[in-house]
Amino acid sequence: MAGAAVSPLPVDLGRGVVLRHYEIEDLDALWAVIEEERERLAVWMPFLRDAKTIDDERAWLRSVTTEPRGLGGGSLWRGDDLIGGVGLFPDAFGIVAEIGYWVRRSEEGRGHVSRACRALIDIAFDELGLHRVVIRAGVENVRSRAVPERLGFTYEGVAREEGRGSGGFYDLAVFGLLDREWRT
Amino acid sequence: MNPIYWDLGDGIEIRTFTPDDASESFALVEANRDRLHPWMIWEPDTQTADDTRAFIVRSLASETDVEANGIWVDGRLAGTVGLRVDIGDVAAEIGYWIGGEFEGRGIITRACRRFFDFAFDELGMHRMELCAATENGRSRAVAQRLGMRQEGVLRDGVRTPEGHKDLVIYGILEDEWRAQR
Repeated sequence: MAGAAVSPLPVDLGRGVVLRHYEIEDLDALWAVIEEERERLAVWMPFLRDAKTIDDERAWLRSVTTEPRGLGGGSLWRGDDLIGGVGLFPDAFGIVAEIGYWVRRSEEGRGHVSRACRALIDIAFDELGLHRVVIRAGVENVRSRAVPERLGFTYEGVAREEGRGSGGFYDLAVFGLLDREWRT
Repeated sequence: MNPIYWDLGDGIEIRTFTPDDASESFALVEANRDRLHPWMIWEPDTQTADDTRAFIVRSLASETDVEANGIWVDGRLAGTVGLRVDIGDVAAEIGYWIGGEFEGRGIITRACRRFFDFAFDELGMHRMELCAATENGRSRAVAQRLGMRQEGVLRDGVRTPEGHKDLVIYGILEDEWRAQR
């Protein structure tokens, strides 16, 4: 279910950036970025706790590149440079999907993540037939919150201490978008 | 995950379903279709004991969740309660329903209390979550009785046989739970 066979990537996001699936060959590029930006990303990203070695990362990369592949392993590229990651994670019932993302510091503030989210939201509603898309961001993660706010999501509440990063548990702001809202 | 068996006293027992419980569990669904239909997306899809058996088998196969458990009252199956662990192991969500004949006796609240102890003490969860349709007053009352805090409303957050409905999300943290028990 959840449109596992759908593979509408790559998408040209403009400004020299392409959204495409990760491939297993991307391991070295991905590991280099993680090593370089680990401290900054780990503040918010729980998965970095599980990415202690390149073997951990290889295992994850395998999981998102195994067929039939979903959209959980999206990556942002400027030429040969990996500049970020985005993923769409549908629930088991084909109703709701959550989007998660990160971007390199050097590419922050240029709208790449928002454009990538737009592409994934189009796919979620038009191709997967989902009804609702959710983005959760740390209440104090201003840059991350700005993405759903910019895309017209509605702020729906705070899941207290549901986030976990290098500084401990943190509150997650929950944003929702419905298919009928996206189309208008 | 390992099956559970708890004696809550007063004739109330909770234990993980086995495939052998499918007929009894399905009979409870049959007797309560009108009550389930407004809320449970699986109600129309549950047409035979085999459907119930498939759910139990699927649940037993999970490494993280204990979704399919029965609540027995004086030896009779009264309802179902289960727990699903979120990705990241920070939080788990509880779900439940009870037959009309057993409603209004606090059985679900007691079952949830036991599950919260289990989730915080044995699974090491940091937070428990309970979601109920906005218009499902009885289900929301359980969360309130458990001292959970309303944290938001997920618009069209659940699909039911009657269409999408808004979902209220309640949460309680481990220190809050320990402080009140």
